[in-house]
Amino acid sequence: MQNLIRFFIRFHYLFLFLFLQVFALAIYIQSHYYQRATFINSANAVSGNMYETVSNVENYFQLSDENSRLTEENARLEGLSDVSLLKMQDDYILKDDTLYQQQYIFSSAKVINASIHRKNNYLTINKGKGNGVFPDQAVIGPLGVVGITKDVSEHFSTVVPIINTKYNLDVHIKRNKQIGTVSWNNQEGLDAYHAHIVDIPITAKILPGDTLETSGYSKKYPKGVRVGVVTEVEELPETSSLKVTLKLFTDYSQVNNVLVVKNLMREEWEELEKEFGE
Amino acid sequence: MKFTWPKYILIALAIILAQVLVLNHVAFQTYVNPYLYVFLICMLPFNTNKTLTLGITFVLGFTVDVFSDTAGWHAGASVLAMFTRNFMINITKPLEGHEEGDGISVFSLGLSNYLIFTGIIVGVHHFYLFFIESFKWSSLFPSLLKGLFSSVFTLILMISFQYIFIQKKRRR
Repeated sequence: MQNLIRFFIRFHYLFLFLFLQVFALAIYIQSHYYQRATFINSANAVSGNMYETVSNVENYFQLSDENSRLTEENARLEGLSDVSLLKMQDDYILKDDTLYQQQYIFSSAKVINASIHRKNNYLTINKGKGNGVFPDQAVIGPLGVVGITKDVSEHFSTVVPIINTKYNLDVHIKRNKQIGTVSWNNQEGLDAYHAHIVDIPITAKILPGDTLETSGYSKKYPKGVRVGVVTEVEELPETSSLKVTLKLFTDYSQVNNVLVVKNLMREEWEELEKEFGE
Repeated sequence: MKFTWPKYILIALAIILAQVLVLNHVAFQTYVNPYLYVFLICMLPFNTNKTLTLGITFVLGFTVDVFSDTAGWHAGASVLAMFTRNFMINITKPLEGHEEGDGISVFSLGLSNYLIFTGIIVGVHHFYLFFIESFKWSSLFPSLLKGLFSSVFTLILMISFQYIFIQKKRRR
Protein backbone atom coordinates (compact mmCIF):
# COMPACT_ATOMS: atom_id res chain seq x y z
CA MET A 1 0.00 0.00 0.00
CA GLN A 2 2.77 2.35 1.00
CA ASN A 3 4.61 1.51 -2.21
CA LEU A 4 1.50 2.23 -4.22
CA ILE A 5 1.15 5.66 -2.63
CA ARG A 6 4.85 6.36 -3.18
CA PHE A 7 4.43 5.30 -6.80
CA PHE A 8 1.56 7.73 -7.28
CA ILE A 9 3.46 10.57 -5.62
CA ARG A 10 6.54 9.91 -7.74
CA PHE A 11 4.60 9.98 -10.99
CA HIS A 12 1.91 12.47 -9.92
CA TYR A 13 2.72 14.78 -12.83
CA LEU A 14 2.18 12.05 -15.41
CA PHE A 15 -1.00 10.87 -13.72
CA LEU A 16 -2.36 14.41 -13.54
CA PHE A 17 -1.66 14.85 -17.24
CA LEU A 18 -3.40 11.58 -18.15
CA PHE A 19 -6.33 12.36 -15.87
CA LEU A 20 -6.90 15.85 -17.31
CA GLN A 21 -6.50 14.58 -20.86
CA VAL A 22 -8.98 11.74 -20.39
CA PHE A 23 -11.37 14.02 -18.55
CA ALA A 24 -11.27 16.62 -21.34
CA LEU A 25 -11.77 13.98 -24.03
CA ALA A 26 -14.60 12.41 -22.06
CA ILE A 27 -16.58 15.63 -21.71
CA TYR A 28 -15.89 16.47 -25.36
CA ILE A 29 -17.19 13.13 -26.60
CA GLN A 30 -20.04 13.12 -24.13
CA SER A 31 -21.14 16.58 -25.28
CA HIS A 32 -21.80 15.11 -28.71
CA TYR A 33 -24.18 12.44 -27.54
CA TYR A 34 -26.09 13.88 -24.62
CA GLN A 35 -27.64 17.14 -23.62
CA ARG A 36 -24.61 19.02 -22.46
CA ALA A 37 -24.21 20.01 -18.83
CA THR A 38 -25.42 23.59 -18.85
CA PHE A 39 -22.33 25.18 -17.40
CA ILE A 40 -19.85 24.25 -20.16
CA ASN A 41 -21.66 25.97 -23.00
CA SER A 42 -22.29 29.55 -23.96
CA ALA A 43 -25.80 29.48 -22.53
CA ASN A 44 -24.48 29.98 -18.99
CA ALA A 45 -24.82 33.25 -17.14
CA VAL A 46 -21.26 34.61 -17.40
CA SER A 47 -20.58 34.00 -21.07
CA GLY A 48 -24.21 34.53 -22.04
CA ASN A 49 -24.26 38.00 -20.50
CA MET A 50 -20.92 38.89 -22.05
CA TYR A 51 -22.02 37.81 -25.51
CA GLU A 52 -25.24 39.75 -25.12
CA THR A 53 -23.35 42.96 -24.29
CA VAL A 54 -21.03 42.53 -27.26
CA SER A 55 -23.95 41.69 -29.50
CA ASN A 56 -25.80 44.81 -28.37
CA VAL A 57 -22.87 46.94 -29.50
CA GLU A 58 -22.56 45.07 -32.79
CA ASN A 59 -26.25 45.50 -33.50
CA TYR A 60 -25.89 49.25 -33.84
CA PHE A 61 -23.65 48.74 -36.83
CA GLN A 62 -26.08 46.37 -38.50
CA LEU A 63 -29.31 48.26 -37.92
CA SER A 64 -29.81 49.31 -41.54
CA ASP A 65 -29.14 45.80 -42.90
CA GLU A 66 -31.43 44.29 -40.32
CA ASN A 67 -34.13 46.83 -41.14
CA SER A 68 -34.02 45.99 -44.80
CA ARG A 69 -34.27 42.28 -44.00
CA LEU A 70 -37.30 42.85 -41.78
CA THR A 71 -38.88 45.10 -44.40
CA GLU A 72 -38.33 42.35 -46.96
CA GLU A 73 -40.13 39.90 -44.72
CA ASN A 74 -42.96 42.38 -44.18
CA ALA A 75 -43.29 42.80 -47.92
CA ARG A 76 -43.48 39.05 -48.38
CA LEU A 77 -46.09 38.67 -45.64
CA GLU A 78 -48.05 41.63 -46.96
CA GLY A 79 -48.28 39.79 -50.26
CA LEU A 80 -49.91 36.86 -48.48
CA SER A 81 -52.43 38.86 -46.51
CA ASP A 82 -56.07 39.45 -47.45
CA VAL A 83 -55.60 43.04 -48.61
CA SER A 84 -53.35 42.04 -51.48
CA LEU A 85 -55.63 39.32 -52.78
CA LEU A 86 -58.35 40.05 -55.32
CA LYS A 87 -61.54 38.29 -54.45
CA MET A 88 -62.67 36.12 -57.40
CA GLN A 89 -65.77 34.61 -55.83
CA ASP A 90 -68.13 35.75 -53.20
CA ASP A 91 -67.81 32.85 -50.80
CA TYR A 92 -64.89 33.35 -48.46
CA ILE A 93 -63.75 31.75 -45.28
CA LEU A 94 -64.36 33.42 -41.98
CA LYS A 95 -61.64 33.00 -39.41
CA ASP A 96 -63.97 31.43 -36.95
CA ASP A 97 -62.64 30.16 -33.67
CA THR A 98 -64.57 26.95 -33.95
CA LEU A 99 -63.06 26.29 -37.37
CA TYR A 100 -59.54 27.41 -36.55
CA GLN A 101 -57.45 26.73 -33.54
CA GLN A 102 -54.06 28.21 -32.86
CA GLN A 103 -51.41 25.57 -33.48
CA TYR A 104 -48.14 27.54 -33.44
CA ILE A 105 -47.12 30.48 -31.31
CA PHE A 106 -43.99 32.52 -31.89
CA SER A 107 -41.79 34.48 -29.55
CA SER A 108 -39.00 36.77 -30.64
CA ALA A 109 -35.35 36.41 -29.63
CA LYS A 110 -32.01 37.84 -30.60
CA VAL A 111 -28.97 35.85 -31.67
CA ILE A 112 -26.12 36.90 -29.41
CA ASN A 113 -23.37 34.54 -30.58
CA ALA A 114 -22.83 32.42 -33.66
CA SER A 115 -20.10 30.18 -35.02
CA ILE A 116 -20.07 29.32 -38.71
CA HIS A 117 -16.62 27.92 -39.48
CA ARG A 118 -16.62 24.75 -37.45
CA LYS A 119 -17.90 21.28 -38.13
CA ASN A 120 -20.56 21.55 -35.44
CA ASN A 121 -21.68 25.14 -35.37
CA TYR A 122 -23.93 26.66 -32.73
CA LEU A 123 -25.90 29.84 -32.15
CA THR A 124 -26.81 31.34 -28.79
CA ILE A 125 -30.06 33.27 -28.33
CA ASN A 126 -31.08 35.53 -25.48
CA LYS A 127 -34.26 33.70 -24.43
CA GLY A 128 -34.36 30.73 -22.09
CA LYS A 129 -36.47 28.68 -19.72
CA GLY A 130 -37.71 31.86 -18.06
CA ASN A 131 -39.11 33.01 -21.40
CA GLY A 132 -40.83 29.72 -22.18
CA VAL A 133 -38.14 28.27 -24.46
CA PHE A 134 -37.56 24.53 -24.16
CA PRO A 135 -35.10 22.15 -25.84
CA ASP A 136 -36.04 20.89 -29.31
CA GLN A 137 -38.10 23.87 -30.47
CA ALA A 138 -37.83 25.32 -33.95
CA VAL A 139 -36.13 28.66 -34.52
CA ILE A 140 -36.88 30.62 -37.69
CA GLY A 141 -35.44 33.91 -38.94
CA PRO A 142 -36.82 36.60 -41.24
CA LEU A 143 -35.47 34.80 -44.32
CA GLY A 144 -36.23 31.21 -43.37
CA VAL A 145 -35.34 28.26 -41.15
CA VAL A 146 -32.53 28.79 -38.62
CA GLY A 147 -32.40 25.64 -36.50
CA ILE A 148 -33.65 24.00 -33.31
CA THR A 149 -32.91 24.81 -29.67
CA LYS A 150 -30.65 22.41 -27.82
CA ASP A 151 -29.56 23.49 -24.34
CA VAL A 152 -31.67 25.88 -22.37
CA SER A 153 -30.64 27.86 -19.29
CA GLU A 154 -32.67 30.39 -17.34
CA HIS A 155 -32.13 33.26 -19.80
CA PHE A 156 -30.26 31.86 -22.78
CA SER A 157 -30.43 28.90 -25.15
CA THR A 158 -28.14 27.34 -27.71
CA VAL A 159 -29.45 26.61 -31.19
CA VAL A 160 -28.27 23.85 -33.55
CA PRO A 161 -28.40 25.39 -37.05
CA ILE A 162 -28.69 23.61 -40.41
CA ILE A 163 -24.93 24.06 -40.75
CA ASN A 164 -24.21 21.49 -38.04
CA THR A 165 -23.34 17.91 -38.99
CA LYS A 166 -25.62 16.60 -36.26
CA TYR A 167 -28.73 18.19 -37.69
CA ASN A 168 -31.06 16.95 -40.43
CA LEU A 169 -34.12 18.86 -41.58
CA ASP A 170 -37.14 17.41 -43.42
CA VAL A 171 -38.04 19.54 -46.43
CA HIS A 172 -40.09 19.36 -49.59
CA ILE A 173 -40.01 21.13 -52.92
CA LYS A 174 -42.64 23.81 -53.07
CA ARG A 175 -43.58 23.04 -56.69
CA ASN A 176 -44.28 19.28 -56.53
CA LYS A 177 -44.00 18.38 -52.82
CA GLN A 178 -41.11 15.95 -53.42
CA ILE A 179 -39.68 15.31 -49.94
CA GLY A 180 -36.04 15.10 -48.88
CA THR A 181 -33.66 15.70 -45.99
CA VAL A 182 -31.26 18.63 -45.78
CA SER A 183 -27.92 17.77 -44.28
CA TRP A 184 -24.66 19.65 -43.98
CA ASN A 185 -21.05 18.62 -43.52
CA ASN A 186 -18.06 20.88 -44.00
CA GLN A 187 -15.96 17.87 -45.02
CA GLU A 188 -17.95 17.72 -48.25
CA GLY A 189 -16.68 21.10 -49.36
CA LEU A 190 -19.74 22.99 -48.15
CA ASP A 191 -19.48 26.47 -46.66
CA ALA A 192 -21.93 28.13 -44.27
CA TYR A 193 -24.21 29.25 -47.10
CA HIS A 194 -24.86 25.94 -48.86
CA ALA A 195 -26.15 22.48 -47.91
CA HIS A 196 -27.02 19.17 -49.54
CA ILE A 197 -30.30 17.31 -49.83
CA VAL A 198 -29.91 13.58 -49.39
CA ASP A 199 -32.25 10.64 -50.04
CA ILE A 200 -33.67 11.97 -53.28
CA PRO A 201 -34.41 9.14 -55.76
CA ILE A 202 -33.04 9.56 -59.28
CA THR A 203 -36.55 9.62 -60.67
CA ALA A 204 -37.53 12.74 -58.72
CA LYS A 205 -38.24 15.84 -60.72
CA ILE A 206 -36.05 18.51 -59.24
CA LEU A 207 -34.53 21.44 -61.08
CA PRO A 208 -32.13 24.26 -60.22
CA GLY A 209 -34.21 27.20 -59.03
CA ASP A 210 -36.76 25.15 -57.10
CA THR A 211 -37.65 26.58 -53.70
CA LEU A 212 -37.45 24.31 -50.67
CA GLU A 213 -39.63 24.66 -47.63
CA THR A 214 -40.28 22.68 -44.46
CA SER A 215 -42.50 19.71 -45.17
CA GLY A 216 -44.70 19.73 -42.11
CA TYR A 217 -43.72 16.14 -41.34
CA SER A 218 -41.72 17.58 -38.50
CA LYS A 219 -43.38 18.28 -35.19
CA LYS A 220 -41.27 21.39 -34.69
CA TYR A 221 -41.76 23.52 -37.79
CA PRO A 222 -44.98 24.83 -39.28
CA LYS A 223 -45.43 23.66 -42.86
CA GLY A 224 -44.02 25.91 -45.56
CA VAL A 225 -41.22 27.81 -43.82
CA ARG A 226 -38.68 28.69 -46.50
CA VAL A 227 -35.33 26.88 -46.37
CA GLY A 228 -33.36 27.56 -49.54
CA VAL A 229 -33.19 27.41 -53.30
CA VAL A 230 -31.72 24.57 -55.39
CA THR A 231 -28.54 25.60 -57.20
CA GLU A 232 -27.15 22.34 -58.53
CA VAL A 233 -28.48 18.85 -59.30
CA GLU A 234 -26.04 16.03 -59.95
CA GLU A 235 -26.87 12.41 -60.76
CA LEU A 236 -25.07 9.70 -58.83
CA PRO A 237 -25.55 6.54 -60.93
CA GLU A 238 -23.85 4.19 -58.44
CA THR A 239 -26.45 4.81 -55.74
CA SER A 240 -29.16 5.83 -58.22
CA SER A 241 -29.87 8.98 -56.30
CA LEU A 242 -29.51 12.69 -56.84
CA LYS A 243 -26.99 14.93 -55.13
CA VAL A 244 -28.72 18.26 -54.74
CA THR A 245 -26.96 21.40 -53.56
CA LEU A 246 -29.00 24.27 -52.22
CA LYS A 247 -28.29 27.82 -51.19
CA LEU A 248 -29.70 28.55 -47.73
CA PHE A 249 -31.89 31.62 -47.38
CA THR A 250 -30.61 32.27 -43.86
CA ASP A 251 -27.19 33.92 -43.81
CA TYR A 252 -25.73 32.60 -40.56
CA SER A 253 -23.00 35.21 -40.50
CA GLN A 254 -25.65 37.93 -40.20
CA VAL A 255 -28.65 36.32 -38.52
CA ASN A 256 -29.90 38.53 -35.72
CA ASN A 257 -33.64 38.64 -34.99
CA VAL A 258 -35.26 35.22 -34.83
CA LEU A 259 -38.56 33.66 -33.74
CA VAL A 260 -38.84 30.63 -31.49
CA VAL A 261 -41.76 28.43 -32.54
CA LYS A 262 -43.92 26.52 -30.11
CA ASN A 263 -46.25 23.85 -31.43
CA LEU A 264 -49.22 23.81 -29.07
CA MET A 265 -50.40 20.44 -30.35
CA ARG A 266 -47.06 18.69 -30.19
CA GLU A 267 -47.86 16.57 -27.15
CA GLU A 268 -51.07 15.35 -28.70
CA TRP A 269 -49.20 14.52 -31.91
CA GLU A 270 -46.42 12.68 -30.11
CA GLU A 271 -48.89 10.80 -27.95
CA LEU A 272 -50.63 9.53 -31.06
CA GLU A 273 -47.49 8.54 -32.93
CA LYS A 274 -46.00 6.83 -29.90
CA GLU A 275 -48.63 4.13 -30.22
CA PHE A 276 -47.92 3.34 -33.81
CA GLY A 277 -44.19 3.50 -33.22
CA GLU A 278 -44.38 0.49 -30.97
CA MET B 1 10.12 41.13 -19.69
CA LYS B 2 9.94 40.27 -16.03
CA PHE B 3 7.33 37.61 -15.39
CA THR B 4 4.79 38.29 -12.62
CA TRP B 5 1.50 36.52 -11.92
CA PRO B 6 -0.75 39.64 -11.90
CA LYS B 7 0.67 40.62 -15.28
CA TYR B 8 0.13 37.08 -16.57
CA ILE B 9 -3.53 37.11 -15.48
CA LEU B 10 -4.08 40.48 -17.21
CA ILE B 11 -2.50 39.26 -20.45
CA ALA B 12 -4.51 36.02 -20.17
CA LEU B 13 -7.79 37.92 -19.84
CA ALA B 14 -6.96 40.15 -22.81
CA ILE B 15 -5.96 37.24 -25.03
CA ILE B 16 -8.96 35.08 -24.09
CA LEU B 17 -11.28 37.99 -24.89
CA ALA B 18 -9.53 38.55 -28.23
CA GLN B 19 -9.77 34.82 -28.91
CA VAL B 20 -13.48 34.36 -28.24
CA LEU B 21 -14.70 37.68 -29.59
CA VAL B 22 -12.53 38.12 -32.68
CA LEU B 23 -10.30 35.18 -33.58
CA ASN B 24 -12.96 32.48 -33.23
CA HIS B 25 -14.76 34.18 -36.08
CA VAL B 26 -11.71 34.34 -38.33
CA ALA B 27 -11.40 31.62 -40.97
CA PHE B 28 -9.93 31.82 -44.43
CA GLN B 29 -11.06 29.11 -46.85
CA THR B 30 -11.91 26.92 -43.81
CA TYR B 31 -8.20 26.10 -43.52
CA VAL B 32 -6.97 28.83 -41.20
CA ASN B 33 -8.36 29.15 -37.69
CA PRO B 34 -5.91 30.97 -35.40
CA TYR B 35 -5.78 30.03 -31.72
CA LEU B 36 -3.69 32.79 -30.18
CA TYR B 37 -4.27 31.65 -26.61
CA VAL B 38 -1.51 29.03 -27.03
CA PHE B 39 0.78 32.00 -26.46
CA LEU B 40 -0.24 31.84 -22.79
CA ILE B 41 0.95 28.23 -22.63
CA CYS B 42 4.30 29.09 -24.23
CA MET B 43 5.09 32.17 -22.16
CA LEU B 44 5.21 30.62 -18.65
CA PRO B 45 8.79 30.69 -17.25
CA PHE B 46 11.01 27.59 -17.54
CA ASN B 47 11.06 26.91 -13.82
CA THR B 48 7.34 27.09 -13.03
CA ASN B 49 6.11 24.08 -11.03
CA LYS B 50 5.12 21.48 -13.61
CA THR B 51 2.00 20.29 -11.80
CA LEU B 52 0.86 23.90 -11.49
CA THR B 53 1.36 24.52 -15.22
CA LEU B 54 -0.93 21.62 -16.10
CA GLY B 55 -3.61 22.99 -13.79
CA ILE B 56 -3.31 26.48 -15.26
CA THR B 57 -3.57 25.23 -18.84
CA PHE B 58 -6.60 23.13 -18.07
CA VAL B 59 -8.39 26.14 -16.59
CA LEU B 60 -7.27 28.24 -19.55
CA GLY B 61 -8.52 25.78 -22.15
CA PHE B 62 -11.71 25.22 -20.24
CA THR B 63 -12.43 28.97 -20.16
CA VAL B 64 -12.05 29.15 -23.94
CA ASP B 65 -14.31 26.07 -24.19
CA VAL B 66 -17.06 27.67 -22.15
CA PHE B 67 -17.13 30.65 -24.47
CA SER B 68 -16.92 28.74 -27.72
CA ASP B 69 -19.38 25.90 -26.94
CA THR B 70 -16.79 23.17 -27.28
CA ALA B 71 -16.77 21.28 -23.97
CA GLY B 72 -13.32 19.84 -23.35
CA TRP B 73 -11.98 20.42 -26.87
CA HIS B 74 -9.60 23.28 -26.13
CA ALA B 75 -8.93 21.98 -22.60
CA GLY B 76 -7.61 18.67 -23.93
CA ALA B 77 -5.48 20.32 -26.60
CA SER B 78 -4.03 22.81 -24.12
CA VAL B 79 -3.10 20.12 -21.61
CA LEU B 80 -1.38 18.12 -24.34
CA ALA B 81 0.44 21.24 -25.56
CA MET B 82 1.65 22.00 -22.04
CA PHE B 83 2.81 18.41 -21.57
CA THR B 84 4.78 18.70 -24.83
CA ARG B 85 6.26 21.99 -23.67
CA ASN B 86 7.37 20.60 -20.31
CA PHE B 87 8.80 17.55 -22.05
CA MET B 88 10.84 19.74 -24.41
CA ILE B 89 12.09 21.90 -21.57
CA ASN B 90 13.13 18.72 -19.76
CA ILE B 91 15.17 17.26 -22.60
CA THR B 92 16.88 20.56 -23.46
CA LYS B 93 17.70 21.44 -19.84
CA PRO B 94 21.28 22.65 -19.38
CA LEU B 95 23.26 20.93 -16.61
CA GLU B 96 23.12 23.93 -14.29
CA GLY B 97 19.36 24.30 -14.83
CA HIS B 98 17.41 27.12 -16.41
CA GLU B 99 17.74 30.68 -15.17
CA GLU B 100 15.14 31.99 -12.79
CA GLY B 101 12.40 34.42 -13.52
CA ASP B 102 11.86 35.56 -17.07
CA GLY B 103 8.88 34.44 -19.07
CA ILE B 104 9.63 32.72 -22.37
CA SER B 105 9.45 35.27 -25.15
CA VAL B 106 10.93 35.93 -28.55
CA PHE B 107 13.38 38.32 -26.89
CA SER B 108 14.65 35.90 -24.24
CA LEU B 109 15.15 32.96 -26.65
CA GLY B 110 15.97 34.70 -29.91
CA LEU B 111 13.75 34.48 -32.98
CA SER B 112 14.95 31.16 -34.45
CA ASN B 113 14.98 29.25 -31.14
CA TYR B 114 11.62 30.70 -30.26
CA LEU B 115 10.17 29.63 -33.62
CA ILE B 116 11.34 26.02 -33.13
CA PHE B 117 10.18 25.90 -29.51
CA THR B 118 6.71 27.37 -30.04
CA GLY B 119 6.34 25.86 -33.52
CA ILE B 120 6.29 22.36 -32.03
CA ILE B 121 3.89 23.32 -29.23
CA VAL B 122 1.50 25.17 -31.56
CA GLY B 123 1.72 22.38 -34.13
CA VAL B 124 0.83 19.68 -31.58
CA HIS B 125 -1.99 21.81 -30.19
CA HIS B 126 -3.58 22.65 -33.56
CA PHE B 127 -3.24 19.17 -34.99
CA TYR B 128 -4.89 17.70 -31.90
CA LEU B 129 -7.77 20.18 -32.24
CA PHE B 130 -8.47 19.49 -35.89
CA PHE B 131 -7.98 15.73 -35.61
CA ILE B 132 -10.28 15.41 -32.61
CA GLU B 133 -12.84 17.55 -34.41
CA SER B 134 -13.22 15.12 -37.32
CA PHE B 135 -12.04 11.97 -35.45
CA LYS B 136 -11.54 9.82 -38.54
CA TRP B 137 -8.39 8.30 -40.02
CA SER B 138 -9.60 9.35 -43.45
CA SER B 139 -9.45 13.00 -42.45
CA LEU B 140 -5.88 12.70 -41.15
CA PHE B 141 -4.42 14.52 -44.13
CA PRO B 142 -6.93 17.42 -44.18
CA SER B 143 -6.40 17.80 -40.42
CA LEU B 144 -2.63 17.95 -40.91
CA LEU B 145 -3.03 20.57 -43.62
CA LYS B 146 -5.43 22.62 -41.55
CA GLY B 147 -3.11 22.30 -38.53
CA LEU B 148 -0.13 23.43 -40.59
CA PHE B 149 -1.77 26.50 -42.10
CA SER B 150 -3.39 27.55 -38.84
CA SER B 151 -0.14 27.04 -36.90
CA VAL B 152 1.73 29.35 -39.26
CA PHE B 153 -0.93 31.99 -38.81
CA THR B 154 -1.01 31.58 -35.02
CA LEU B 155 2.80 31.86 -34.87
CA ILE B 156 2.75 35.08 -36.90
CA LEU B 157 0.11 36.47 -34.53
CA MET B 158 2.09 35.40 -31.44
CA ILE B 159 5.32 36.97 -32.60
CA SER B 160 3.76 40.20 -33.82
CA PHE B 161 1.84 40.39 -30.54
CA GLN B 162 5.16 40.44 -28.66
CA TYR B 163 6.81 42.95 -30.96
CA ILE B 164 3.81 45.26 -30.67
CA PHE B 165 3.09 45.07 -26.93
CA ILE B 166 6.36 44.06 -25.28
CA GLN B 167 9.12 45.66 -27.36
CA LYS B 168 7.81 49.11 -26.43
CA LYS B 169 8.34 48.50 -22.73
CA ARG B 170 11.94 47.39 -23.32
CA ARG B 171 12.90 50.62 -25.08
CA ARG B 172 11.82 52.72 -22.13
